[in-house]
Amino acid sequence: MSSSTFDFKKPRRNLILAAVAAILAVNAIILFAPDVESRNYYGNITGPVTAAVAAAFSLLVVKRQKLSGIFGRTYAALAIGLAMWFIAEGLWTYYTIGLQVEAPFPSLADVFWLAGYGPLGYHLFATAKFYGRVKKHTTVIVSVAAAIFAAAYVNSIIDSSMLTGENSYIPLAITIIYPILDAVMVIPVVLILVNPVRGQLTSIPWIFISWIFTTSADAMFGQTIVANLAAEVTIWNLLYNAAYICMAAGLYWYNRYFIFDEKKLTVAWQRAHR
Amino acid sequence: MSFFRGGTAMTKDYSPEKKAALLKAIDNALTGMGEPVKKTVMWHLNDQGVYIGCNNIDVLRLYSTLEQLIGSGADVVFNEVYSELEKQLTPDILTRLDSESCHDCPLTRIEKLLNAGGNN
Repeated sequence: MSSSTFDFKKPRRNLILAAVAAILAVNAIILFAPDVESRNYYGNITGPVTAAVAAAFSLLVVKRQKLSGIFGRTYAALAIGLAMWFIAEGLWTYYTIGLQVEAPFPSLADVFWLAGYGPLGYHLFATAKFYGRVKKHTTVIVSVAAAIFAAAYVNSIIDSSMLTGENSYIPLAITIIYPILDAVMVIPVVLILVNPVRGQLTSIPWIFISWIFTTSADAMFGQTIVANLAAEVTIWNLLYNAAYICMAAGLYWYNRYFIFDEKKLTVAWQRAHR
Repeated sequence: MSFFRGGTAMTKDYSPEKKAALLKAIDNALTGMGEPVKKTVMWHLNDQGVYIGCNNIDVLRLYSTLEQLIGSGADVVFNEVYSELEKQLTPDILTRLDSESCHDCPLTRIEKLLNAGGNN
């Protein structure tokens, strides 16, 4: 078999290094802040910034790819979901920095976060269906494991909840909805990550690793909310930043290598055949 | 896991109707990914010496190169190719294949479909 003109290993390695460097740099701003208030402040700024970067890459993909075919539809859904989450991040920041109040829970931001799960879920499941060469029993095992994890987590949320009073049901219900939705999303993510056949052109597993970060961050955030520690413990900000940067890296790869660009491909071919 | 078990390179001299049906099926299946993605995949296939549209397309090689490029997505594309071929080939061939081929991998099913009723 003829070998490819392209060496995908080098750009993939460079992208990994760039993404890790970006995650470290962004999170260093939070980690090296002098006190909890500053860490919260910088966390509330970096969240919408990293979300904006991911959303911008997704919109660029839609602009170039349009809506045709399975990838056109799934990446448009991803862009809608990321746009919703960017709005949610922006609203959260508006409460905390713009209005200088503690963001209410639930807030309008939660509406956008929860609504974003629809299109993001469509993207995940459709993509996993395309790339997931997984045996049925693996799917069953992963689904059962996700359900057990979600049940245990919801139980721990209810047990440790400091939310009391008549008006505590809605915040508690919303706190519970997040891990349930995350557990559903984790199923295709794990199925994709355990499948070793990924392909040189694909942005696998970037976008899926991003979901691992998001799920972990949501789990931590939920615990801090119900324990009334959200203002003091902000480690989840680091994970959300990592999630958005991973998502952006995946979308960069997709945009660069999966969507046809005759000029770039011709230049690459000419370089390889000099 | 590889789907090449027992497979042979499909470069046989099939009848012009079967060749045309196969090429149309491959083109439709790739188009299902979206036009810009199809163009990218086609470019890389050509770059690696797999030419869709030539007279004797090597389906086995197409599959392996496609798998190299888009991973397990090659199975989805080949399932589409099989579905397209099913639509285009005669019902009596399908009846004979249905009972024995439903559990085969897409590549094997395509091979059986093309070999059914003789090569010409």
